[in-house]
Amino acid sequence: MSSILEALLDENILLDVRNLSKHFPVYGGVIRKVVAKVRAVDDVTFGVRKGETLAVVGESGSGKTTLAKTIIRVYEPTSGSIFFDVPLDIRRRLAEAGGREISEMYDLARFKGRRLKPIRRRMQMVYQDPTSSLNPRMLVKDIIAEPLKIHGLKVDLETHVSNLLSKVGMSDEHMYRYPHELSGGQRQRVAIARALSTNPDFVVLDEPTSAVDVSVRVQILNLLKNLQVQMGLTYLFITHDLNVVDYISDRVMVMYLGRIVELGERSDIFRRPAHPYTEALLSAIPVADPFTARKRIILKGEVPSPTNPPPGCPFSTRCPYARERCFRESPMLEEVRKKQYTACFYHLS
Amino acid sequence: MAEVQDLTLRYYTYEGVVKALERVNLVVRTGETLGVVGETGSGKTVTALAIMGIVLPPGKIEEGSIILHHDGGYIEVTKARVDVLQRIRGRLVAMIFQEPSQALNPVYTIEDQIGEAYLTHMHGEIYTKAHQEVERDIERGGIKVRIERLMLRRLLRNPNDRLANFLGRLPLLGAYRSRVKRIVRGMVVDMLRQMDVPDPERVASSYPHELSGGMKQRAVIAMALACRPALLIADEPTTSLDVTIEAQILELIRRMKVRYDTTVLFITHDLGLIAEMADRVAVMYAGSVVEVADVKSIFSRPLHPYTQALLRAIPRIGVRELTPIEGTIPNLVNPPSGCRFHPRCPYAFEKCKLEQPQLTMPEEGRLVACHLY
Repeated sequence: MSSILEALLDENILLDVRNLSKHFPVYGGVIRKVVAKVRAVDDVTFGVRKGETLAVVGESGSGKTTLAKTIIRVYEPTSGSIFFDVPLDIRRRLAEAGGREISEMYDLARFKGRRLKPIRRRMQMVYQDPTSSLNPRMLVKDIIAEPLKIHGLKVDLETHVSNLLSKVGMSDEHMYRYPHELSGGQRQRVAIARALSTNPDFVVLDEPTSAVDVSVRVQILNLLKNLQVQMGLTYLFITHDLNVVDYISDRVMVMYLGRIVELGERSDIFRRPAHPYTEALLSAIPVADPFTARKRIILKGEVPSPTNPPPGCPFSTRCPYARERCFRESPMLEEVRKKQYTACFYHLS
Repeated sequence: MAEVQDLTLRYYTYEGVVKALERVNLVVRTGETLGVVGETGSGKTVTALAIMGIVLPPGKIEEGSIILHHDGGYIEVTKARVDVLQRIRGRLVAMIFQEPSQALNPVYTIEDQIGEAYLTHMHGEIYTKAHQEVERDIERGGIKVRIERLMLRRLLRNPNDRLANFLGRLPLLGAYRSRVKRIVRGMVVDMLRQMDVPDPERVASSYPHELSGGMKQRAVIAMALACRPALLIADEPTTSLDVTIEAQILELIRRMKVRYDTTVLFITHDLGLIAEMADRVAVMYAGSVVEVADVKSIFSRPLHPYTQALLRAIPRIGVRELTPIEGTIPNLVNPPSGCRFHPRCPYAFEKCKLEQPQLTMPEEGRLVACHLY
């Protein structure tokens, strides 16, 4: 049984996130003082390997989007550290003497303003709904070229945009169109082209297929898969659709109420979930197969409010196996099988 | 239960005529769950609304008929008068909408909104019950109870009685109203309890914004089932909900269908939900029904090229290889000639471009609209 920190000390880790929290203050009263905190992301530790797709799964309010936005520094983290493409020997020295100075130099969570700019070029994001993430008053060409201008990349804009468009399966004729002239699938392709324009290493995909139609969904997923191989991208794929997760991801991270409840290889998570929540989530997916009868676990109740999370295990209020200890203590993420981490006292293995 | 025949519906917009439905044929059998599956713009919701008799301008039914059977008689929805339609809605056909926060009025409590269904369709029962209560109290009560009895008698004769409704607004004279309200509240709380709502008393007096998405959808379902409709239309009832809440709602719909012996028309774009819920399936594409079959046949041996392509294109657990459907959904202002699927169809031939295929029965119990059969 080892902690997840040991797994982070690996050559192939591109993104190393440690004890990351993001709390949002809730203001109230006449003097607008802070009356409560929304613990959107609470003490999250994990790593993303170079070239892999890590799927982040969870229900609404589980903190998946907040986590992604905190990593790419749209939000300022409340606490914790983020190391992006920092060599192993430097990360190893963090625990030793002088670790403080090292983290000052390399920890993204402590960067501010101008220091973040070179990092932003290497981390990009594709949003859920292309209709609202693309400016309706800009031409496709300008949308895709904007990041290049911002980062001062002196390239032949026209040819660069044309290359990007062909990469995402569109043609030059789309260059001088407005977003409203495109179909939903095409819009999402433009959003992907924009994210790829600065040649990033790491791309956050926030439910990129939930706003497109079923028949177009697979086109987008296959496109993302091909681009990943072509350009050597690393994906953080946020979704609530487990069918999509199984198709696209290498590893899966399940979140509940701002915490990681399970993390592991895709095949392990789907075949042998160790956390009761993962088990329930998997059994709740509607399966397009009328021939096999399945035993469904239907969870009682709803996700508690992140303003006032239950003491002890966050899942204890809905867990079918909860015992007395679960209501008092909060379990840590531990390795229960090889490379499978679960935060549960009475895990299912 | 319901028959839709050759329904053609168009929207006359500034950008042109949107040919939303083109000769839609659909039969809902009494007691079954018919799943309607299709993508955005395939016409599933428009068909469902037309069955309810709701065709909003600029939409217009060009031809075709919708017939609802019940108690041996039938109603032609497309030709029915507004007051007839109002009596049908909620009582014979009811609908659960996709987005519960939009289906509920934000300025009324849940109790008011579900209660409205009862007062519209079951005022007879409610006033009779109130009247019986008053008869019991009449010995002990004084003038106030006598006025109440008088009002209720008038309302029993004519629920729209002007005098009673006017006097009901005055203090003292309006006592019958609180009696009626109490009875309705009892019915609402009872209905919410059947929907597995924890603390139904509190939920009944809440406003929609105070409730979670799952709870609002339960309230919407309670409203739809309040007057025991014979046909329940569920239009993507779980799209806006999380997976674990979705599982709860599906279980609820299944249980209510058995308890109230309701026929269900289940509309979705998710083939997984179809497999879970439906007995028979109708597949729609770009405004037409392209295939109808029982649920097992659809999944084991789809006949229409669109159904086949769709089944190969949906991500499913354990499926590593997926083939996308090339091209995009057609624009309905300018739909492709002939069969609307032909530009994306791998088997398309000359005839497909010229002639729209009709639903035919290549074998017992299966309908398909394709020139291949």
